[in-house]
Amino acid sequence: MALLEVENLKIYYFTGAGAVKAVDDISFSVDKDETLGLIGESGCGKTTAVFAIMRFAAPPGRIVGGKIIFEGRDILTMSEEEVRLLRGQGVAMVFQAAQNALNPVMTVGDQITEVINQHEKVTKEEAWERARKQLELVGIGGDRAKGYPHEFSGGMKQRVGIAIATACNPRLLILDEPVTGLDVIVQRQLLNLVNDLREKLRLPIILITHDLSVVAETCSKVAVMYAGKIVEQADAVSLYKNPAHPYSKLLIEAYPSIKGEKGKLISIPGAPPGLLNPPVGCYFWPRCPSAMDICQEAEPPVQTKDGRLVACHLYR
Amino acid sequence: MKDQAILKVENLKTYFPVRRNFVKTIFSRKKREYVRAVDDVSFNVGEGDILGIVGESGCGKSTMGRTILRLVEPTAGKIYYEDIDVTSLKRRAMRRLRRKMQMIFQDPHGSLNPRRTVADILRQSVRIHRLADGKAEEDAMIKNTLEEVGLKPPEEFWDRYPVLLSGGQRQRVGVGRILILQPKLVVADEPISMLDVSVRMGIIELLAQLREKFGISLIYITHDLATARYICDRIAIMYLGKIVEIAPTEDLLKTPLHPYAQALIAAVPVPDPRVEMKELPIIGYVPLIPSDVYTSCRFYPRCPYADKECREQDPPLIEVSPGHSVACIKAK
Repeated sequence: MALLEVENLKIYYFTGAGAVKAVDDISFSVDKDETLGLIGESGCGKTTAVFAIMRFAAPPGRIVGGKIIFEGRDILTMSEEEVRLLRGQGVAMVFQAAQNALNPVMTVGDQITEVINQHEKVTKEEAWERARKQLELVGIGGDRAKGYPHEFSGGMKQRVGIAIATACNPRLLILDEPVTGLDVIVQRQLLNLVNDLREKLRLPIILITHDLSVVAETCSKVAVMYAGKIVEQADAVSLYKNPAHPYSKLLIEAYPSIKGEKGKLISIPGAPPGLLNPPVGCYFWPRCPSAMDICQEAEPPVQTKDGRLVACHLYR
Repeated sequence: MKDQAILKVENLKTYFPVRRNFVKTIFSRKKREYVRAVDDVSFNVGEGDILGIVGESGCGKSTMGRTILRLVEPTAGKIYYEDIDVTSLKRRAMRRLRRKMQMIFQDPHGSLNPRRTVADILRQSVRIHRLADGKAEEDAMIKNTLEEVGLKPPEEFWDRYPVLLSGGQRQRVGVGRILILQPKLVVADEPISMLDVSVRMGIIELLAQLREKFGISLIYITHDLATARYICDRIAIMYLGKIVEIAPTEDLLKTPLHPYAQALIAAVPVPDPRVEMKELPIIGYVPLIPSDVYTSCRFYPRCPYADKECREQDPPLIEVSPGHSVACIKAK
């Protein structure tokens, strides 16, 4: 049994105009020593999906169905107290724009010890000792623990975010757009850190991003999301080498590369559908170059093909 | 580059004074301090040329773009647009010239007036510069432009407010409202960094078309070398207010000479999981507060090849092969 198994998860936002199916029947799993990349355009539901793993669902959003089994227990049926302990110790998350998620009037050391004190009974000295160790772990000197967030650069704040998230030795780490808004050099340094941490702490990671190259450099497994659904799931190498779903294929072709021959780049016409009134059939057909009649009528089921999961009528 | 330069920038400097408190201003003997956002930069842009300005945040690339259009006043140096000295123009003359020199902004959500429809946003451009006689001509121009930037059919977008458009469509409106003025030079400041990957290339293509169809010269400011590669003829790499290397695109990407350019290129992630990540030939971070005065190479604290010589002089930008200049005493 995998460390985390998400089964048929559905999260809808109930708005005045109707239910927005932000996450619609998705399933995936993360095993120990795996890094799962969750990739998709803005608004495709990737953040909403992982928020559910921490059981964050803010009204009008509601988890309407499915299971999230973490270490054999369903997170969705846990009591509030159990969930409180789970967050940070079981599953920890570094939020999007962690640069701005830090408290500006607390030292970073205080922000790390705060998490430790929530979960463990330790003395003040021990907590601070661990805070300093955490900062060293992420490549910031322990002597900076007394510093305030404004004294750190964007990349360093992101590192502090990781230090806070890993302070209580979680068994699964979620990174939401960890490098968005960072410069390439800082971005590379951070990705190196993520790879290091995974090896050093043997920490399984779920990484959310819209950037294909970030996934390529860190993840072993990739799930491509489109309009609230996972359209393809495969190991990273075979997905990049030979994408099966037309959307994954176009996404990869639309991505510029600095290496190799300068190929012709394409853009995908149109925009993702509104999830209030999604199209009938496959959600991607209005933008799909290989759309057939059936695509406009029936939603494609998820099928297994060469060891990967793909939801497309091309592979029936 | 074509022989006819449409824009010449000579020794351009833009400094921002560092704010001090009142007491210090009166009693301190120290001279006023400045952040040298753009520090002695010179380059040309040929007609129909696309020049990429690439650098990390805080390197002064946006300030430079804005200074060229005089949205920020330069501290020193000259900017020539077709032999007109832009820096010495009076307000009114500058305003007339603005029609020829335009800017595309980064944030397509923030740079469009949310209370105007698409047609009105374009109409405003036409009216400010008095380009049309009467509403019928305005309408024809707007319709034409909307088609030109790929918002087809124009009737469908005519009465829409920006909130009802996707990011890509909004940026097309941003391009449309400058295209309608038929400018000669456009500064595009990170025009795609806030868009989704799937629509980015559409905007890049549109910008390339501006050159093909209308002969518009473009200064493309970005931190993303990979997209710059697809559109730029030449790329200039900036670090702490200075151009450290400038060369034709493929030349620069294949044989970068400046250590910073090398690091920047090595850091660009490759969308292929089979490619190993290489170690970066760079140390530390960009300094948070750039220093006031430079007597050394400004990259030397982070440079793996730095030695005593680098600490003693600020290297000038020197041409090492045709069109390829670099500011590093080690690169020869």
